[in-house]
Amino acid sequence: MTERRNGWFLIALLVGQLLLLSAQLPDPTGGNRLQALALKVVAVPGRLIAGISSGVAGIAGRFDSLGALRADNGALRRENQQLKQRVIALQDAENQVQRLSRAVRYTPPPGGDLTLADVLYLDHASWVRTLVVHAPGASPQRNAPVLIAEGLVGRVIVVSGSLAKVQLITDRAASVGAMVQRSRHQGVVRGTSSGDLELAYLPRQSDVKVGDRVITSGVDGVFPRGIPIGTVAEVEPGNDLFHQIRLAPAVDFRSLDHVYLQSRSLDLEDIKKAVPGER
Amino acid sequence: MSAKGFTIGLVLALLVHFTATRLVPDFPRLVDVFLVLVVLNGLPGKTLPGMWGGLVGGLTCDALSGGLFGLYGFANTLTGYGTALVARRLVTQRAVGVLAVFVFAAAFQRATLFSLDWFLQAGTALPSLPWALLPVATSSVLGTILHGTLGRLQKRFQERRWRRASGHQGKR
Repeated sequence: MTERRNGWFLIALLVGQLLLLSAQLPDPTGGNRLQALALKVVAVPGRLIAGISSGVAGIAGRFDSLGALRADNGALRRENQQLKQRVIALQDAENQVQRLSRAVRYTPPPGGDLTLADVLYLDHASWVRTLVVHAPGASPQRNAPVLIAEGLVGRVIVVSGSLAKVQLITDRAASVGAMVQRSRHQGVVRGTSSGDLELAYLPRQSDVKVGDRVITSGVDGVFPRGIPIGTVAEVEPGNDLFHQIRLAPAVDFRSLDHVYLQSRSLDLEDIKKAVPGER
Repeated sequence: MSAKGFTIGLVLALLVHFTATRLVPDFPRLVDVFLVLVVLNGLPGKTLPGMWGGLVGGLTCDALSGGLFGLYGFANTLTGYGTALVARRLVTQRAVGVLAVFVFAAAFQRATLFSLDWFLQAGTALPSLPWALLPVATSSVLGTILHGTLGRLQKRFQERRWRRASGHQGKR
């Protein structure tokens, strides 16, 4: 009798979960309140481990030899001088671009503010690739681009207070509007089941070769233009229409400890509303 | 496993998962610690706690993963229930029996997970067979070792308690 009751109970539980799953289907990455709550609960030990880890790293850092620090200091000073010279050159270039933009009445897209966030948990290896980050004192926005100095990391899919779950660009459900920096040919960068990146929908006649840098194109309404995604590692003929291109990611996902969340100045819904014929 | 034991196990599994992922980034690809906990919870052969344990363990996994929320919850609920049913029919006092239950549960969970994902999100690529089977093997071996170790520790603890109790009686 008890077993029969348990059986019915199991069926009820499974049906409930199937309903929960099917409710998410129109937008597989759409976070819901339940997911946000679960993230908040589960992130507690993650924050604990992150705190212990940085504490241990801090203690270990104190034992670094003074000589190594001096050498680092010298190297950083030299690098600083070179960067200062580069900034001056770039400021000149920026002024020139601004003058030319004014001449042709071009307004560049607005860039968002960057918020530093600690990486609490990174799972780049399993079936679905995610990152849980903590931005103290900030409230991350859903769909906000996540990046580091080297390039694009992913986008925020679930927000729970100052915690956010990030979908990595290597996730098989992720896709990013991209272009080859040299030729400006556009395609879509997607994650694969093996954890690599591929550049899809690039026509066979387009000019692309190994070593080309691939950046965001900005046409997807999520990621601003110009963020490095990766480098072309392999180009194969593919099918009749498109190249088959494998990319080496610009970011080393194994060594992420801090990321930047870029605030979005334009919301996807606003863009849709602004497009004629879209509702 | 009692509810208290399961809760402690869940907290430990989370700590192990977070720490190991920090030290070895490929850890989640190799071992599913939450599955090990779900199977350990189902090994006594009680279906209701097995089912609940599966649900909680699965939803914890879902909170960490980026796919559909509830995918692991569904698979682990079924796995917890199935583990309890299979554990009743096998001799789980022997390591071979325990290993068989773990292999069944891990393979069943993977199969449920992939078929459900394929069914709900048709067209998405699934991991290759070796990478899909690797966690089955590693989780099964780890779970069997853990079960044996916990069993020995429990036995030793009980013996000590029994000796203490009989010692007190002897003094009287």
